[in-house]
Amino acid sequence: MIALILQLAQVLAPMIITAYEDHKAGNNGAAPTQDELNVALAAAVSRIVAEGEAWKAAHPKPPA
Amino acid sequence: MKRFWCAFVLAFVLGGSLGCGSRAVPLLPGTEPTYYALKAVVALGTVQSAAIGLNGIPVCAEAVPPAPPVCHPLLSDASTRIVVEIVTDSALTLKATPAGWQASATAALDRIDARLDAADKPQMKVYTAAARGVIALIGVNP
Repeated sequence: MIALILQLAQVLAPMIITAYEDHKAGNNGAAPTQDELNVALAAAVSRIVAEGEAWKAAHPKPPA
Repeated sequence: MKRFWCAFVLAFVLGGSLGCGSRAVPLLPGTEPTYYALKAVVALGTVQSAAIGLNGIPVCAEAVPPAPPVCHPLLSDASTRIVVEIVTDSALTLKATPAGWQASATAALDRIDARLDAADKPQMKVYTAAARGVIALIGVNP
C-alpha cells in the first residue's frame, strides 16, 4: 500500500509542480505595463520601417 | 479508506491535467489593444521580410553561350515595393491607433493580395495566408 502511494506520488509530483508553477505564473507573473507595450510596439514598427527603407534605398524606383 | 484514497488520487490526476493547459499571458486591463497590435505588427513584419527575402532570390533562364544567363528576382521589385509600402503604412497606423489592429492588419493583407502582379501572387500567397491565420488567432489565443 505504501509502495503504491510512493509510486503514485512519483508520477503525480511533476504534474502537480507544473500546475502550481503555471498557476503562479498566471496569477503572480508580471504583466507588461502600457508604457512597456508602447515601447515594444514603437520598436517593432521602427524595425519594419528601417527594413523597408533599407530595401527601397537599395532598389530605387525606376523613372516612370 | 480505499474509497478515500481512490478519490484522492483521482483528484490529483484531474487537477494536474487541468493545470497542464496552455499558459495564458497576463495582461493588465486596458493594455490588450496595444498587445494585440504588437502581435499584428510582428505578423505583418514577417510578410515584409518574406517579400524582401524572395526578392533576393535570383531565378535565371538557361544560358546560351556566349551570352550570360538572364536572371530576375523570384518576387519582382514592383511587387516587393508594394508589400513594403503597404506593410510600413499599416505598421505606422497600428502604432498610432492600436485599437483598430484587426481591421488595419486585415485590410493591409487584402491590399497586398489585390495589388500584387499576377505572376507574383502565388509567391506571396502562403505568407499572407499565414499572417491572416496569426491575426485571426491573436485575440483568441493571446
